Amino acid sequence: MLKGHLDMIVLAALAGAPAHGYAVIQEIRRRSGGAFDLPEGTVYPALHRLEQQGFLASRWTKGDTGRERRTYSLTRSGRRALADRRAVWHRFAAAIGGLFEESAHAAARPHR
Amino acid sequence: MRPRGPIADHLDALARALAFDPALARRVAKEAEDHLREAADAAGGDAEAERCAVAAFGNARALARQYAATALTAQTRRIGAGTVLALAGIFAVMEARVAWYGLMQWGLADALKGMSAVALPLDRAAFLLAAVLAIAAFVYLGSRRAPRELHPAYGKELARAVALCAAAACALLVSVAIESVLTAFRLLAAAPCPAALVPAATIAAEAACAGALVWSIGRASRRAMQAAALMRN
Repeated sequence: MLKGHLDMIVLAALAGAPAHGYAVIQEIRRRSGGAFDLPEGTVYPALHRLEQQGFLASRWTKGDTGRERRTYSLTRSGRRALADRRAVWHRFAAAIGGLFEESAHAAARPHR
Repeated sequence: MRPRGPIADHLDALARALAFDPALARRVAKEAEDHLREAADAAGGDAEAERCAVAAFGNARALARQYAATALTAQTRRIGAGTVLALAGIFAVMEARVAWYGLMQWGLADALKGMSAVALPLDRAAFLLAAVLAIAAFVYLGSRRAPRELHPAYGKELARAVALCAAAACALLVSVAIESVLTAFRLLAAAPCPAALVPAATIAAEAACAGALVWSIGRASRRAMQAAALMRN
């Protein structure tokens, strides 16, 4: 299930500030409270795909260690895509929430 | 040179799995190395920390399959666009040569008229066929969406698109070959003059264009075959 939403998760992790792949994974882990613990390498093909789609821009920068690293940032269309996906997600979550609430009430009703 | 260890071994495995796109392999190796070294350093930096970092990173072939879907789609789209551009370029050059003949009032020798009557309709048919196939490939590619991971069904769709481009390139080669023969006979029949340089140059440009297209389709096919190996375990 997580795989299907990986692009949205990566876009959300980059919404605050540009970051390199390792920092994106740390951010996903931190913000999800450790719930999203996917193979770390998985984030790189997602970053590459989102860059190809024009949602991200990237450039090589020099890290503290002196190693070169690729830093990604959201483009304008990336911000738009994130806003769209966020809206779809909220509608979906509200619909599922309503569904669960109804079934919880039905389960709590005494059977005759 | 990279120090040997679990990270270096994993980077080698990643480079082998991404051999279908050398530029992508270089970029991924650089990114993965930075990631793995940072993760290993955060865990102590010894061999055990390297092993943990590699295990958390994930299988090299599985990662390569995810890259392959995007990379092969982009490559095949470039081939599709390249085929259409090559056709447009060759058409423009052909028209320029015909216009030059008109400008120079360079008619066809009587001895060549019979051959031209047979060859020209063939030339036009081959060019038209190439155009139809190239447009079909372009439209087909435009309607495909790259999946997250390369799988056999999508591999077949890409192969179909490359086959359409290859068929278009073959038809284009036939057209360029006919044009080359007709131009050669026309030049041989005429007395040598500087004006002959223009048709010779246009034929050379057409041949170069068609040759570049065939080369890029061949390269794309080889890369697709290398990537297809990722789907076999």
